[in-house]
Amino acid sequence: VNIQDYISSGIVEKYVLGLADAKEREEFERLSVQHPELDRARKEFEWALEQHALDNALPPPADLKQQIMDDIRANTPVHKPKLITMENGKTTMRRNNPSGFLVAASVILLLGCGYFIYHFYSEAKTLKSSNSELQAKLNSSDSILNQIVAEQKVVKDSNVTVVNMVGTQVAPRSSANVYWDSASTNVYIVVRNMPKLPTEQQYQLWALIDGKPKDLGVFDATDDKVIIKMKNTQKADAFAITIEKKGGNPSPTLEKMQAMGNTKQKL
Amino acid sequence: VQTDSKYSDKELALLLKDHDNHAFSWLYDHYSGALYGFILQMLSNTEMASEVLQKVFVDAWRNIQQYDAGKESLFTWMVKMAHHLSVEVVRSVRSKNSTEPVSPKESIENSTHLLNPIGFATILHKLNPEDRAIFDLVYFKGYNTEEIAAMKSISTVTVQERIQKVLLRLRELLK
Repeated sequence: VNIQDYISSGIVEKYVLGLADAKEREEFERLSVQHPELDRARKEFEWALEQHALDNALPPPADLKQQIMDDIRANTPVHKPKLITMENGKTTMRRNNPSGFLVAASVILLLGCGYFIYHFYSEAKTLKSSNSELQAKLNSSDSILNQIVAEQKVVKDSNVTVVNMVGTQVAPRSSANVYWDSASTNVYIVVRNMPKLPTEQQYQLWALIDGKPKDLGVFDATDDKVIIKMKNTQKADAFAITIEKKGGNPSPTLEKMQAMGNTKQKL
Repeated sequence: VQTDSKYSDKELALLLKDHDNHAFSWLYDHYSGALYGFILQMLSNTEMASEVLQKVFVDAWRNIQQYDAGKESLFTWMVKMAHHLSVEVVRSVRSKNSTEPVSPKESIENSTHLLNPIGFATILHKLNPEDRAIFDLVYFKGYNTEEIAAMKSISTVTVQERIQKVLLRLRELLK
């Protein structure tokens, strides 16, 4: 390849503007290493293009910089890779000059300080984040404990009737307990095992009074082993669970009955 | 801290690779206007142009480890990103509009019609209209050689020759 012909073929401009294909780029980069004049031509064109663009700059929206700075802060890795740069050739240490050692010593000292500052900073950061993690765990344990205490209270109350909801033929493995406090008329449900439903559906609890259903509210299978307060009822001969659309229906879809239990046995 | 000092490309790249916020802030102050002018000439829509500009800087921050100072300047690297992202926007707008058929002749006329030539486009105005139209289609509109050949009913070789002609004039025009 005659390098002057190559340079004046338009390849430099094609490369810089990003119009060269992979093969052309590879060739250009290889020849640039071998021919300094090609590298120089590339840099000259880049410089001309940059100057032209700087001369024709238009101010972007004023608030954009802040948005971008916020964006990049969110995109910065927590652990900074440590980078130590060495300039080759330019600065040479003179062996006989004692101030050289002072310079070297202070650079080492400075690097050391920098390292410790960074080290303690990142340690403090780690401690801070593990602290908030523990706090979050504590909060969730607290709320689980409160639920268990609430469940215990209901279970121990002598006025409370426990109704074992047994799965129907449609859903033989479904099971849940209904706690009905006949004094306060409160109704609670504890899901033992109910299959997960699609998001557009929910379970609905009904009280059967003289053969007529009364809506006691909806619940999800995801509330596993947690006590849920349902709507109150003064009377109930039996309880039933059906699958309904999200939010519940005014009357039960009986063919979708999942579980049922009578209120007769008192504990 | 060092907002008004001038960094060399090498220094700037090293600082950016070390995730230096000040260096990035300087990069933005120094190049955002030039890049915004460049993007705006391709998209002529300030909202889209701001979005692309934001993406260029965020991508530059994320992908700085891939930047090779031996191959190109930081500005070239970022202009290429801006160009690439803008071409994507131009193409997606084009494919959205493609439901309403436009005759090839019309679309060429539209594409060469720049109301307010800014930035790069100002120097292109010194080219002869036919060459400029070809360059506009390939660089600003992201068409490939075959598509342009079909549109203008000329051979791909002619398209390539015209592109080359423009590329060669570009160096003189920028001087």
